Amino acid sequence: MIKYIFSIVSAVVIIMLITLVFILPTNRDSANADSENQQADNTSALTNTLLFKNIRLFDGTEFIENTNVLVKEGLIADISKSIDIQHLGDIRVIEGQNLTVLPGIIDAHTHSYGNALQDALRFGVTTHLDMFTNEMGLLESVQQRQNLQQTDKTDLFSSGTLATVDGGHGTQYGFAIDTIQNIDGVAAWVTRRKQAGADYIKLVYMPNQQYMPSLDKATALEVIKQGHLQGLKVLAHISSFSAAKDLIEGDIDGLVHIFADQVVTSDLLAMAAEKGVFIIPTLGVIASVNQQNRNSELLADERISGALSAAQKETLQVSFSHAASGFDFAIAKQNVSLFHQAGVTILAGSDAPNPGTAYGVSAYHEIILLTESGLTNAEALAAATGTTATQFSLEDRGVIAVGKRADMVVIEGDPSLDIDTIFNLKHVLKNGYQVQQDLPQSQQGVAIENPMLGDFETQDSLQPNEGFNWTQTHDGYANGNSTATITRVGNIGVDGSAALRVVSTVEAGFPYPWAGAAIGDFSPPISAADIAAYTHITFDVKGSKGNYRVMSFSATSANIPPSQNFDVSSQWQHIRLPLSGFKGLDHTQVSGFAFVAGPTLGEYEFVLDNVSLE
Amino acid sequence: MNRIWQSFVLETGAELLKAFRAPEFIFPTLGMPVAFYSLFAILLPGSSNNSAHLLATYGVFAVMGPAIFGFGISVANERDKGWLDLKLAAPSQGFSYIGAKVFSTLLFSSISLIIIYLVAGFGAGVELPQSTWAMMLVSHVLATFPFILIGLIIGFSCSGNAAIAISNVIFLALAALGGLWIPMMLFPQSMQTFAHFLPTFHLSEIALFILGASGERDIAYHLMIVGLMSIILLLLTTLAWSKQRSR
Repeated sequence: MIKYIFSIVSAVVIIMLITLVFILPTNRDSANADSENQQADNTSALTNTLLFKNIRLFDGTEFIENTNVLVKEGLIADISKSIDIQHLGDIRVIEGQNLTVLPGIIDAHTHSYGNALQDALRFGVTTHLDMFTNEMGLLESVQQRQNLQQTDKTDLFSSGTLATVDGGHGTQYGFAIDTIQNIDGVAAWVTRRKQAGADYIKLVYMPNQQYMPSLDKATALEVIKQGHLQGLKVLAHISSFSAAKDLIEGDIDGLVHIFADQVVTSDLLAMAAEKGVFIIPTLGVIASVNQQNRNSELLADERISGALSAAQKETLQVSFSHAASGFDFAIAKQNVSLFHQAGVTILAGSDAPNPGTAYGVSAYHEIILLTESGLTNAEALAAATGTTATQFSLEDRGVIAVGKRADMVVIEGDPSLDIDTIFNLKHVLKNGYQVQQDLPQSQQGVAIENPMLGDFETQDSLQPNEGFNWTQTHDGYANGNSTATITRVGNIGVDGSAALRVVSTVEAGFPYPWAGAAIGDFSPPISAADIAAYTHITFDVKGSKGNYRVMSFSATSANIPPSQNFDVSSQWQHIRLPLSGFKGLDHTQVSGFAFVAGPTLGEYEFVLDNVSLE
Repeated sequence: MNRIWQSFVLETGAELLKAFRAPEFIFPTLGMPVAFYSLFAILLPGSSNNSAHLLATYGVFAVMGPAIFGFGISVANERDKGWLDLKLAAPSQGFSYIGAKVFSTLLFSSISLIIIYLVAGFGAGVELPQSTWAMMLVSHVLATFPFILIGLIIGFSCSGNAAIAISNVIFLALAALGGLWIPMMLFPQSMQTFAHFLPTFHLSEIALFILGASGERDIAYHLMIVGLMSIILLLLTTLAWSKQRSR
């Protein structure tokens, strides 16, 4: 008997192991489905080999008239006035009397959240130099940008988080960041950035102002020193002349804003030029702070508006709440001009998605602002391509030269004569593959068919529309500590009908804590709903007294959810809120609503019934 | 040779029979890793994006239990009861006593892995190329060996009661500090450095490499350290074995 146990058990386990390998799900099916879809969409999207014939080239430094560029398997293979087309065989050719080919645009100052990388790539911004983001996905993006595969995302380089102090600039965004406690911790802090996948260091130095604490001078200089010791470039956020002066003296590699509080002195100009500092002025965002942005022009421009996602439109439309002192747009432009004349390198960065800017489009706008600040058209384009690649040691991009990555933008017109032609985007190539410039279908909302979002009479009523479910929601998803439970109960509703009981515990841990019930699609991939046909959201509610709010969620933007408040008492109340009260919500791109208690801490219990759109 | 094989087969059969008759050991050992995996990779919010990453680390966790507990405690107990002395006096070879335990542990590790892989594939939605599934599975089965050696060292050098306590401490420390439960990058720097001294860290890094998880990994370094650690453990095992024999 014992003899057989050995053979039987061994055989069974080995057979199970082998079977396991064959039955586990592989991703081949989905990969096939994807490529078939794309084939149906656009056959030209499938090739990463093509020829640009008789085009005008801006190679990252200068214009070359009437030449040819051959792209082979995602890399630039040949550039010459005469190319033998015979032996190339059947190859895709882009030929145009008045086409200009540029290197893919590099945006040298972004904060790449949410759909940033997709939104940027549709506009031909093929590289993001991020200056502060969540570090979670960075190591993945390092891998991503090394391959030549087809992608719908811009390549990301990043500083990771930024060097600041508790309560300083960078800490106000609702998630914890690794701050610098004292000067002795700087070296380890820099090492942690390296391990998180940072490509360079960014520090915030805002001394002598009363708004928020900042690194002191000694610590800021230590960050520069330690960054350099560990082989990283160190860049700085400054907003004043004196701060810029301190850091340029301390061997900073670059400034990620121009100061606009006073005109630069000739001493500082000479020192900056001598030390080889570069400046990313971010004129677009300074114009926005100074309430001088030109968003309405950009939004109205038909060459641009069609490709803007809801999130891009939203960030372009938003403005800073008030003009801050020390940000004079005219002085900013004058300083850029003076630094440029003194021989200091100027680079183009948008600071998107700050108010008044948007991923992709603002990088182009910045190029135009640079030409208004004394750079020639070629210099301004180089500031967004070749010069940036040189300053950041990006070996494989930024210029059109043999062996470089085929990240390219094709525009109609001659930007050497008229810089505004850069908005005439004809084609975008990433790794040699054509990029879809139109908004993908999935970002267009599906109309809500059943306006009754929750009568809670049956179990099915918890899923009133395709992909729309009732769930509990709380700030735990944003690292808060609140909790919530929801239960459908038979006879507690209006007139003894069934309703939804929500028990919430709102606890400290997130700046705007919440807990309650939500209706919508919150599990990626999120399908957007279109509620443009409705004007109000109504519901019946009773429960423990306190402050409550309805939060609205966008399928495309990760910004703070627009909310409206309502009050609850122990008596049933019918509440009717206008959908227009959710400021900034795109009604065609909704992912759901939440009915929550908070931000006042405490325990809440409320009953929700007859949630409906009308 | 035939006689050794025969006694190995019989010993293994007896070992398995003993295990089947005491399901109160089997079920918790096999159930805990998959329960933890389900919790962290399926149930907790936000877990959907790293279920593949966690499979690589929880696979190592899954093979630790049978090896450390199966070995450490059962060998120590059998030694306490004088069973080992009897074994050594019996015509059955020392090899087949250890061999049977090693083999049955491999079988239990495999079962543990089969369950967790099924949950990953069909519960957590992990999708991988077939070759990746196969290689990761092989790496996880092989990962049992260092833990078997750790179990043996405990078994040969502790009393039955001490073995339970020590196995638990070692088991939990290796799992938690080696980054099997929570991704290593969330740990403070000093703990990340310390993890380099733990086999669990290197074994999970090897599995993560096979998976192609994000981050840069020096596979040769991890393989070398695992090999080195196995050799040291093997030496310690031999030492513990001869020490308890000569007692």
